Amino acid sequence: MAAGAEDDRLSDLPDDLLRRILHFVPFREAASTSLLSRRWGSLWRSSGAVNLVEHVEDEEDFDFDDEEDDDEVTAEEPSARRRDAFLRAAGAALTAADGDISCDHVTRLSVDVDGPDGYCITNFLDCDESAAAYDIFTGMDVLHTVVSHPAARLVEELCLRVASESDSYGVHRRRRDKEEEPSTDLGVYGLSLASLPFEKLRVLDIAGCNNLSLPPPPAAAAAAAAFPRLQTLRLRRCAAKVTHLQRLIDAAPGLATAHLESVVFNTDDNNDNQSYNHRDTGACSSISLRCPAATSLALEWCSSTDYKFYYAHSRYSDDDDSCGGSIAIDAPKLRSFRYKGLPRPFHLKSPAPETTTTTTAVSLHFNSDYYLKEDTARVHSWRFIGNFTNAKTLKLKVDNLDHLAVADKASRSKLLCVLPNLVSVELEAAQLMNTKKSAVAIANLLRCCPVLSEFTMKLNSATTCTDRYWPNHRGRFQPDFYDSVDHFMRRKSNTTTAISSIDSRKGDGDRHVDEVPDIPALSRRSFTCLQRSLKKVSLKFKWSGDDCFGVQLVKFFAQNAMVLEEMRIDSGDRKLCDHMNLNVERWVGADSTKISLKRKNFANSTWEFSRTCPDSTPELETSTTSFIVLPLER
Amino acid sequence: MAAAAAEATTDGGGKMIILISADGKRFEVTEAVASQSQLISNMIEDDCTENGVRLPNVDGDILTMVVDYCNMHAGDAAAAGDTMKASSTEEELKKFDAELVQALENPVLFKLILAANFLNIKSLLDMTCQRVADMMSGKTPEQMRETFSIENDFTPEEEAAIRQENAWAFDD
Repeated sequence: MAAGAEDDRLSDLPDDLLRRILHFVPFREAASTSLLSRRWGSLWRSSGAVNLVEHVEDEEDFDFDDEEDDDEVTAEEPSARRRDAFLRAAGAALTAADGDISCDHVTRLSVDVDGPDGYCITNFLDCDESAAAYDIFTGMDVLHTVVSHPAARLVEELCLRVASESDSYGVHRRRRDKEEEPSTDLGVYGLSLASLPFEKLRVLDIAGCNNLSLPPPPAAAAAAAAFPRLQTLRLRRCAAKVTHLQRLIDAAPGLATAHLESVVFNTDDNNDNQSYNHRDTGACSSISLRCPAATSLALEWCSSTDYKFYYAHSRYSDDDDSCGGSIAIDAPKLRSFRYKGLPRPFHLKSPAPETTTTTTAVSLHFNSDYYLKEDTARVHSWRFIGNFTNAKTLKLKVDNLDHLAVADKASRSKLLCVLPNLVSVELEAAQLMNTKKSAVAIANLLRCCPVLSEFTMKLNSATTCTDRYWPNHRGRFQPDFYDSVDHFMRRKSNTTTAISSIDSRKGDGDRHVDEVPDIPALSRRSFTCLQRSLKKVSLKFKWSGDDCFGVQLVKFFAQNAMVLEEMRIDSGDRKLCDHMNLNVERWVGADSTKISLKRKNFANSTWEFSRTCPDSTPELETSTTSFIVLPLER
Repeated sequence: MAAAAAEATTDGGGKMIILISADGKRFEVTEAVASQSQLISNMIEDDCTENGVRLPNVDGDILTMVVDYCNMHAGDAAAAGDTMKASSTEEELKKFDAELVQALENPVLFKLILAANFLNIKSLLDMTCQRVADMMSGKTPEQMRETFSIENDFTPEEEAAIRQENAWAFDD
């Protein structure tokens, strides 16, 4: 050991940390660490994990060293040979990991199979009878063969991941990973959960599997849960029948976290009319799940193979009671909820009783597609939000802010709800098509939140239709540079135009030089949260001249949020002279009667303003005297 | 916490704690940020953080990274509870984590593992161990020895015996 004195080698870590590293190493590499040195020798056996990894090749690539094989083997198809080698190795790894005395059992088992397409993978994983030839295994296919190995019986964490470059429909992965609801099954492999090791299982993580199925529990054993310790369930790019998923949840009484991402719910067909099958069939194409223990729930880009569900949003209907394409969740203990997808009819059943002090964090991302009508989006989005009356924080991301704008009074009273506990809102909009409507949407939101204290807005400027359909064509950085240069040039000319405009306006009598126009939808109204609770506003927008919507918002909040303490502004990418000499005073309207600039600090680009409220109530005047404007942290 | 901290509280409401690295660098963090370390969380419960927490086996440069990580992840720890602090989005966190670990030289990475282990920050420990595991995957034993400067102390006979025993791992 020449470099023994140095404290910088892997070998300097204690054994338990090396084991922790080996916990994550794929099985072949883990076993081959036994060859590194005496110390590494059998360390890998006690890492507590077996991570099986297999890359399935295309069949054509398999004709290597055929000549050397004897007749028996050449008769076999190459994928079967490959599969047998994998199963033998998997069995050896599991046996080795289980046999070590210093570690009582394998706690984590992961199986990670990827290949060029669904066909190759299915071909590899479906071994039917051939596996029975080996004494070690008696299972039906590769996944079940592996998980039914004796060493896997006490597994606490089970990850099954099947991934292909393109799915069985030939759709490439890049397309499938788009942020939208899938219209077809995404998984490549059918999986039955019946033979999984249950007893100690805490985490079940499945990706890329179709037809997730679980037979109904035998009537006699209904009381005993099949997954007594399961806490976390993650499904990605999977397809399952709602009944089967519900069975899985029912079998896991302690399931606290359920994350479903790109899960396609198959419609139930007739041969599955068990007693369980009570809610999710029938004329209503809806998804209904009951998660009695869940505290954290995520539904991201989930969909259904039922076209009635998938296209429900495309119909224009005044029929508010239609449940087509709806999702119903019954989760009385819910504390954190995340949804990404189209705005749909959504029903959160049995919300937590209002007496309890549960704080709920809600994150909603509503996208839109070609079929989505603006009115439908508006109704569903607000109804969706209305389910979370006990929310404390809300992150709301919309493709198009117009979809949240409820202009007429009748619809407002019908759709908008009061969110009495909501203190923090983050609103992100990918597009601002129509600033008038955007202003209405923000007004709607402010009206719903009487105790709002922190309001963050991330508003992207209007994008064209081509941007929407080919988002990658939007060169992200180059235009920013031109923008910056443009700003710089404009700023140079600004000084002169500003002066001339002052001169010209002086003639108009005693009108104030207030270049930033008001936003009618906002400034005409009064909002409870602006009067009493809103302390912090963060605003990210793209600066495009003093009359841009972002600047108008700055002014609106500066002048109308009476207890404002802090405003953070990010007006685009920080380049050149951005933030160095922004005309924040003018944005805020500091030369108006209400607000005046107290101090300006160039070193860290902060502005301190003081507020004089000649015509407002005296108690408000005393409670707030100043607020600061800072650049938004990133 | 009954005991008053020596330091002023921030406007965020959390009490501040001073962490002191082996080389005497001081880091001021909120209690919420520091509590991601189980070690410090226990110390906070026992009220013994008033005069700063000395971490004699963590260097300043390593502690800088740990503090950065904890500041970044303070949001998700609080996600279910008090969410006043604007937490970063998942994508931002993933990007931050990847960048933090990806760029590290081996010695720094190992020191970070030791620090994460000592401070008992499970997510950071998992992430750094995963990084080393990623470096191992796809490598032959010879390549691993080279990457991590591990000296082979086996005799050729012993090595052959091990290859024999775990033949399935070397077939490929």
